[in-house]
Amino acid sequence: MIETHGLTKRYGSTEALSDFSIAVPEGSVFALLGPNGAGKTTAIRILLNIIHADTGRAEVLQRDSRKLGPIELARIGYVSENRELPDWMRVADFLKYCKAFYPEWRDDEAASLVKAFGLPMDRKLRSLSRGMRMKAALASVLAYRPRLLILDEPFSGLDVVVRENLVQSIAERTPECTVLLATHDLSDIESFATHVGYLSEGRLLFAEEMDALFSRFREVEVVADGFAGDPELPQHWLNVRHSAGVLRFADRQFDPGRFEGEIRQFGSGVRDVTVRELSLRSIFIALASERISGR
Amino acid sequence: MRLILHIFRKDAIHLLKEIAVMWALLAWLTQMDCWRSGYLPGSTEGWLNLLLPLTWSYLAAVCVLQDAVPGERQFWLALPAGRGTMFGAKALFAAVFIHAPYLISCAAVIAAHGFNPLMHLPRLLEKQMVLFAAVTLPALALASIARNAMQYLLLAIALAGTAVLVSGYSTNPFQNQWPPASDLRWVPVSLALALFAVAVLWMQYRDRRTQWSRGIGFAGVLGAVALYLWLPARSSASLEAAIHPLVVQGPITVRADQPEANRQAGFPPRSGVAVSIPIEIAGLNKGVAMYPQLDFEIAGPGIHFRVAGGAMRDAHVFAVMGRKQGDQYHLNVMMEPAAYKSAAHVPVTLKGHFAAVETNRVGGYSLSDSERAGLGRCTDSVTGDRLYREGGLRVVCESPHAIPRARLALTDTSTGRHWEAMLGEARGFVNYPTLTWLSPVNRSEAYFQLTSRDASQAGDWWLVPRTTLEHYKFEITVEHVTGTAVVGYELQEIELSRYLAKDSR
Repeated sequence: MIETHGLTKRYGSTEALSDFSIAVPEGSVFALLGPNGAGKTTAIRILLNIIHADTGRAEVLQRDSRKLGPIELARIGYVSENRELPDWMRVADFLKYCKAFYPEWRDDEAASLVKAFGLPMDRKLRSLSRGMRMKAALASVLAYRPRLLILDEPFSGLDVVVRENLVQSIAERTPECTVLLATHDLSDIESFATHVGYLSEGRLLFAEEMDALFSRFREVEVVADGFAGDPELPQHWLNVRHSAGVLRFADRQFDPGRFEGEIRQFGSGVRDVTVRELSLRSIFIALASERISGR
Repeated sequence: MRLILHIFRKDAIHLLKEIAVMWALLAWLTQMDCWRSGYLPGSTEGWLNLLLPLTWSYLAAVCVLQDAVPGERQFWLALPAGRGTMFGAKALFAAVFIHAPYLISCAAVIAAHGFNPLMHLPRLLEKQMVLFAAVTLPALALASIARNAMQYLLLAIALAGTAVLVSGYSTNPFQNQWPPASDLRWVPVSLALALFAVAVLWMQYRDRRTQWSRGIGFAGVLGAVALYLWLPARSSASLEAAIHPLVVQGPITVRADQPEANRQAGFPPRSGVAVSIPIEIAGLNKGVAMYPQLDFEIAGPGIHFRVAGGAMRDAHVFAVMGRKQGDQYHLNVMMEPAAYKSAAHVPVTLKGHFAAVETNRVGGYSLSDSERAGLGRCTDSVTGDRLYREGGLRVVCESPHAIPRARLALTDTSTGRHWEAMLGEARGFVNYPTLTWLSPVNRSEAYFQLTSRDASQAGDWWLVPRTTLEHYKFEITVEHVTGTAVVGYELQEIELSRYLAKDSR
């Protein structure tokens, strides 16, 4: 559905995106994670042909993103906290205005979204709360059942109830609709993302399926009477903490067979080893710590 | 087309108030233009001719800015509407809410002045083209490189400021000496501006390359201003000559005559020194009018003064091909004292070009024949006074077309006395804008000052006794330009001190 190859974009001396390559399979929910300013929005704007990359190329719906035209855009839904809506329009006028651009627009779908979101049709967009505006924007794209939904920080600053409401609406449309969701908030995606990528300072640190990510990350706690010598710790142990005979770390490439050998180097004093699955949040904390420590 | 109409409708709904204000102003101007009989507009009409184009440019701009082109956050950028569709909607808006009302207004004014609008449709469309090139297109282009109304305003001020700054560097004394019908001077300037505006719009709506477009826009304005200021008068005259060449028998030659004794400067030399060289021009037909120098140069050993259509900041001389006195022409040169001193006593060469314009004079028309004479509809009336208190006899000609130069002879049929005035030479002294370029009706006026006195003294030649109003007639002579030539000359071995003219003051 989306493929990018080595996208790079500079703004003056700042490299907003560097060698960005991802593949978003059809039917997936791809979560592009990263802190504010990581380059997520830049990547999305390149995909939507709003800006051009300096180098590299991208394909969206099997078409070069630089040549993305009305036909492809009519099949893409784009919701962004950064997108300026025509604030002077009432919600009803806004939906009516959008309808004309999308041949696949379904009035019944729009009506049900309006009802589900509790949108006040006679109020102007500028007078709506942030959550309501996001709901209106989401209703305007879900009503034509896009094949590809691109969401840029759609939930930021929203309260939990509104967020759940929107997440549910999006999740209901998958897998018919492929979703690319850029966010800095893990809780937005944990429940429904199938793929995840992590972007930091314009560089993609990894991108893979959620299941694979969960299966290769483990939190390990080793209790020992004492650790023999000064063993060299494997590179794939992250966020290593050592205190009072307890060693804790996150193993980013957990392999039970290899793991035993790695533990054996601590000698016979090892009394207990606990291996637990990591939450997505813990995985990212481990990754962030790794980046900060420069490992 | 469906989406163009859809976006157009959205803009129309949102800008309804602005459209209403603009239409009200246009209706006001139309009403005043319908009722105006003289060439001089009232102050409101004068100001509206300035204000309305600004209103139009603002309306065109805010329409474009509804879906601003620069930036990355606008809602329309991810809509499935091509950029051509978006531009089409904006162009349609300008056509419907700016051009169509103006066309209707022009037709109403033409009709109110007794002309059939359908008969003058080409003229009305020409006005539309002028409005498009001078207002709509630049406004659309400027708005396409602005993010919002404030930025549009700042860009407009920056461009206007640049234009003023550039023009401040020009002190070209020949700037206002272009031959008549030198509207041609505006043609390359307008074309340059329009081309740059089209380039900006093309780049913006095709690739949204705002920085490049802004650069092109600024270059365009600078280029157009520079072109207007520094375009040599000779180029316009040459173009005129190419369109309407002057037919002459043999070559035109110019040579200097012997100095005249006690020659007085025909123009006050103020802080300078006046040199007046009698010249003889052979080969020109009778009735050919001479117009001031297109360029002029004094060259000699260690001396070089050049006055051309170029930058003139260091010009020390000013030359005029003098008006005819009998059959004698004079080349009048005004020089700064220091410049004169350096060149006065050495033989120098004077080189230059001037325009020779031949007109065909066709006379014998009465006021009622004015349409046949190509002057449109001419009427005379006695008016209240402007400068003096005794009133005047005014002749106003109105036409949807350009009104040619014409001489009006007023004759007192009982005494045979007569007075002459050129149509279009009447001037009003007012402190508000008088350029009524939006009016589809051209007006030209001649004015004869009336007096209750006998007016038989020698100095009273310009005063018309009121008794003349009881029995008078007008005779019109129209001057049609039939040919133009650019004449070059080179006068060698001239010792300027021999031609020094006395100060006439």
